[in-house]
Amino acid sequence: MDNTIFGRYTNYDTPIHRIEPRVKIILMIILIVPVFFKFTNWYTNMIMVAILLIFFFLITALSRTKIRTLLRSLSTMWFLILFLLVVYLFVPNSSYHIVMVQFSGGYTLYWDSVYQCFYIIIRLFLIVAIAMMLTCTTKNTDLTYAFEWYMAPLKVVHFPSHAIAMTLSIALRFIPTLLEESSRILKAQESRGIDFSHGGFGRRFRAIIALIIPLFNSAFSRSDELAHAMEARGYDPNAKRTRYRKYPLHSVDLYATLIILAFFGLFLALYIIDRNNPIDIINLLSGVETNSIFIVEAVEEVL
Amino acid sequence: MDILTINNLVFSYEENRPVINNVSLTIKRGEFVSIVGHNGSGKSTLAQLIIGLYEADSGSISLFDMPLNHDNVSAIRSQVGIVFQNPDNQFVGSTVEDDIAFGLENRNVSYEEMHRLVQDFSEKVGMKDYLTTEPSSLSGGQKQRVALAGVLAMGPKLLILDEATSMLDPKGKREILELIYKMKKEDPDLTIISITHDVEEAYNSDRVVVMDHGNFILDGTPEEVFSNESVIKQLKLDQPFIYKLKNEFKKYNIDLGDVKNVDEVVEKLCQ
Repeated sequence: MDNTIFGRYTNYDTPIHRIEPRVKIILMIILIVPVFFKFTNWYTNMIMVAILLIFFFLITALSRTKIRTLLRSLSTMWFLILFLLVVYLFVPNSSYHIVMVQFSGGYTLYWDSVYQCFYIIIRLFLIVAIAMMLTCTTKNTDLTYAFEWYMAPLKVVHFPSHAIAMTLSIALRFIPTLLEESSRILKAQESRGIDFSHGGFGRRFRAIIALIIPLFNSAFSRSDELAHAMEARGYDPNAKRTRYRKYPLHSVDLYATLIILAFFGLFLALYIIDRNNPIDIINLLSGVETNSIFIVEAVEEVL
Repeated sequence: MDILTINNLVFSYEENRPVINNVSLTIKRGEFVSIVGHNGSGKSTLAQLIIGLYEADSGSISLFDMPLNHDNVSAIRSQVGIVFQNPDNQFVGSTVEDDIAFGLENRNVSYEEMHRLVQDFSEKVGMKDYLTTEPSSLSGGQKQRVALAGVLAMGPKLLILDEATSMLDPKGKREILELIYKMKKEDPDLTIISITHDVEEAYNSDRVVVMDHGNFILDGTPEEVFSNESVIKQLKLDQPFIYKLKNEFKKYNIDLGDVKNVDEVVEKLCQ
């Protein structure tokens, strides 16, 4: 029942939970953008990613989301991580210089590749975790409302934004029901002697069919009945409907927007400065006086 | 005023295999009718025909003196509430309050009115403490109570229960039935058609219609219908427990009168 991919909604009353869903989606996207900023030096990159992580964990703490839940998302990405490891560590690249280990067979492991791999995995984690943060702190109804609102302009080209939002909300509503159903079918089929956990790929695939077919069958009959129930209650996808929920903006939305925009602005400024005159943190720390003048010059140049 | 009039209705899913076989029925305002029959007798199909989910092959249906057709169907549906069998497959909203509001949203009820109705009817069915609960953490009985609230909030003149209790445990079943009897008491004008295969449930209504192979076999008060022992036996239906109990007492010249449940029997005997 525990949905690790989406991140289950937890019903707390925190400022993060209270942010209006439409605002929250935009803020989430703004927060993800800095993850893609790549700075010139590897240590600047690391420091920037660390700042992002710290900022993100502050939000996590504020929303009372468990970091463990977010880390669990990594376990669902294990295949991707493995793939990245293979690509970065074993595919030769002419830009690698710093040797880590020289193997006798002619294969060299470079520090660069280890760093690249680590850097990409941590950024991947950040993106997934920020997206999960959204689903952990926003109700499905509110999310679908926000999606529908953002899709509304597409109505001009007869895009069925309302129908899609309704489909989405019903799909989310039925995930637990179908999961329960599949575990029931699994048990029923196992009791009839179908072995789901042993044998080779072919055998297991055939066993899975015994799960998939009844599940599909039931899902279709459910959708039939649901359509009837909705029709009987007067649902018409093309008709105008009133809304049970209203989404007024509060001060928390303003504060959240200001904070995220300030954070984003800082990152963007540093990124632009870095593009023109690479920021060298080590030099910066050893000779603060000279470099501060240097940064002032850079800022002036940008402005 | 006739709530429902069915004239020579015929319907079949496949050609030449009619599920509803030339039936006629009139239901008056305020009646509490049970339609009893085995699986495949056509009783659920009848319910779906009444609210216009299927179109009849021949014959006519009219509700509230309006013939059921393409022009009238939404006007008719706005006055008919139906609770289906499967608690999961009629739960549309993602929480209890959203589901109760679903029908109201479709009817363009205003925001304030909608919130008032959701509060009122969730309280009536005893689900007020669960307004923000998701369906996956509700029992079947609770889901059916939510479905009932969603339907009643729209103020229907006719309530159809399409085996609404058949997938519930005894406790959930009792709760739903008690709720329906209570609603009926509060509003005697509410017409109820209860489709069921449970004869105990049917015994508590005003009128029982027995269906078999798309035909109406018997129609009358519960006493009349269940006294027709040969037909009841032939259809492999059972007589209600209270009815049998009353007959046994009659053998000893004790007339229990009009009793509907065990508590009433006990009360009567203690007098």
